[in-house]
Amino acid sequence: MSNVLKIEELNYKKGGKKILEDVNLKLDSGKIIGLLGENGAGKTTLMRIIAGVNSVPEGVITVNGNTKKVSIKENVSLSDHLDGFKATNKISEIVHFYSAVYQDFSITKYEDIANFLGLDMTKKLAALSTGTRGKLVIALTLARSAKLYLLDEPLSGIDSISRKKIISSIIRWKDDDSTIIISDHYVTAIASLLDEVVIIKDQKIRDLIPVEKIQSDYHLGIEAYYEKVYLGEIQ
Amino acid sequence: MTRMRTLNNQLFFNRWKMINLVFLINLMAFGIVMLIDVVSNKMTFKLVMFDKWYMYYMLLTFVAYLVTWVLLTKDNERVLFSNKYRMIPITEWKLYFSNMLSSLLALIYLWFLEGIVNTIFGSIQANHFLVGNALTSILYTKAYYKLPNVDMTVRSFIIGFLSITLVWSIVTLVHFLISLISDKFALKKKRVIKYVLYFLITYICLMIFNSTVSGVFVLMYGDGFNVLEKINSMLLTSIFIFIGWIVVLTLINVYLLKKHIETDY
Amino acid sequence: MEYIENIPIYLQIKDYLEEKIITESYSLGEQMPSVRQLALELAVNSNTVQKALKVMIEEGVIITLRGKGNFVTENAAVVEELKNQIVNETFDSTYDKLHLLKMNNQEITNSFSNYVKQKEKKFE
Repeated sequence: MSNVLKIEELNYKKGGKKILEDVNLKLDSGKIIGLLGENGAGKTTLMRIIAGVNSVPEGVITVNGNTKKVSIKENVSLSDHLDGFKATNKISEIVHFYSAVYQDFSITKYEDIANFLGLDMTKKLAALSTGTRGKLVIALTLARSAKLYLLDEPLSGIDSISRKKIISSIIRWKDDDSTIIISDHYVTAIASLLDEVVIIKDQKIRDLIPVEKIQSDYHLGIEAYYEKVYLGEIQ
Repeated sequence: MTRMRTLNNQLFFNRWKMINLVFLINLMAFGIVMLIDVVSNKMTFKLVMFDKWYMYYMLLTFVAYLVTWVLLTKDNERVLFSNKYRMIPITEWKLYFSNMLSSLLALIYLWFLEGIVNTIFGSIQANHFLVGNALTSILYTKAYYKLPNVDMTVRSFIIGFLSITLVWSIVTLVHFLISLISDKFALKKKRVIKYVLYFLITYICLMIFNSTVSGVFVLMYGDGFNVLEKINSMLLTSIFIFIGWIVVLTLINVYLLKKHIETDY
Repeated sequence: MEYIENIPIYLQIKDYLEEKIITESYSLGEQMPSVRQLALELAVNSNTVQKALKVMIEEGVIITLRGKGNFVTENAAVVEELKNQIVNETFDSTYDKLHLLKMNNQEITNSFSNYVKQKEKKFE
């Protein structure tokens, strides 16, 4: 299996503070990977660095064999919380923008997902509830056919019915050879989705561990394992 | 290349809508002013009133330009600091140029719209030249159609646009530096420091700019420039100085955008 | 379907599907739903479903026909064997526990048939 993502010797500082230190990571394609860590642990930063939105002062990011930022951006679909759009923008306008600037954005795919999630094209961004906005973000992100999808806390603040819908749409519209990284601090909601888990703690990344290894070697659920790692009970 | 064109279209379309709105408000405000004037003159209508209205119109247009400029400057910055645009698979160069270009185009569009209204006024003025008020008419027609030197007109326009581009480049640089400084050092009281920095950096930029421009002028025209030709060649020199500054600032800005500037939202 | 957190999900899915085969929700020779359908139905990643199916294919409970999909085996003996296996697994822990209570085989058999009789009465 080829590495869809390779991070080598990544160091990242902001405001004079270390956010990420000596990050090395290789991900095989085709999996769903959970990126777990406390709030402020650097999950969002890591995703933005991978997506090429944040600069990489130290280290090399390779996505699907590309190290150039433009090619990386072509291969990565990052979930954006749409803060750059105006509150008066209609969903249809946002969809139009996406289809104009992303060549891999499929309107048919968007419509399929939007129908499934019950999104209404004529609604304005300001009129959407947190749950609906979360659904829109997912529909827009998955409607691109990228190699790597980065879903930054897709379920946070979202009611349980919408959550289930979002999880179903991830299962349904994930290509077999594409890879998804989902960050979250509620682990249980996404636990059944995950193949592997990456935990960020104290600016560092603990090595990638398959969920089955957590279950069969440690006899723990993901949540319990994650807590034990954070408490330092598992090194 | 096609992606850059779609981006241009997107960026320009937003600004085009904005300009239309500004222009519409401008016209509406003007309509209200005219109405008030007619009402306060007991509904009598005199051709002379055109001149007063034209003055009002010029004033309102000036305000419209100012508002547009501020809005475009803000939008220019917003684009470079937003995920919405930074996520697009396009190089920083292209994003930067697209952004600058569509702002300039938007400004030209406003200029074109105002030009239409001006022409309408001009023709009314020319017609009622026969009726009276010769002075203003002569002034306007002269100003519009009979500039002493075509070269000079063109150069003035170029300078106009270059100076706007230059100011935008400086504003962008200032914004970038502030973002950079507050990122590198965890600053407390960010807001206060931000404004202090704004003023400081703007001041430094202006100082450098001023001294270079005047320095070059002193070197070249040390003996004074009273003659029209001299003014003309001075305009040309300014064009080169402006372009030089814009190139330098663009290089710095794109470098910073590429290496250091991160999105805020 | 609710999953037990600390047991690999593919094993839980395998048990679930095998139960369906034994109870003839999926009958002999019937085509299984596609991986994606199962993934959606079970709210898990399709890799996980794939893995469960792989184990079942290795056990011969499911047979893959190229280009057609997955089918439940037509061999009733395999399903019977599967059933026996589950029965054995279920009894294993119970038997061990009762054995620890120093019950002999006769006592265990008696108490179990009593237990079944009581159950029957409850349902009447």
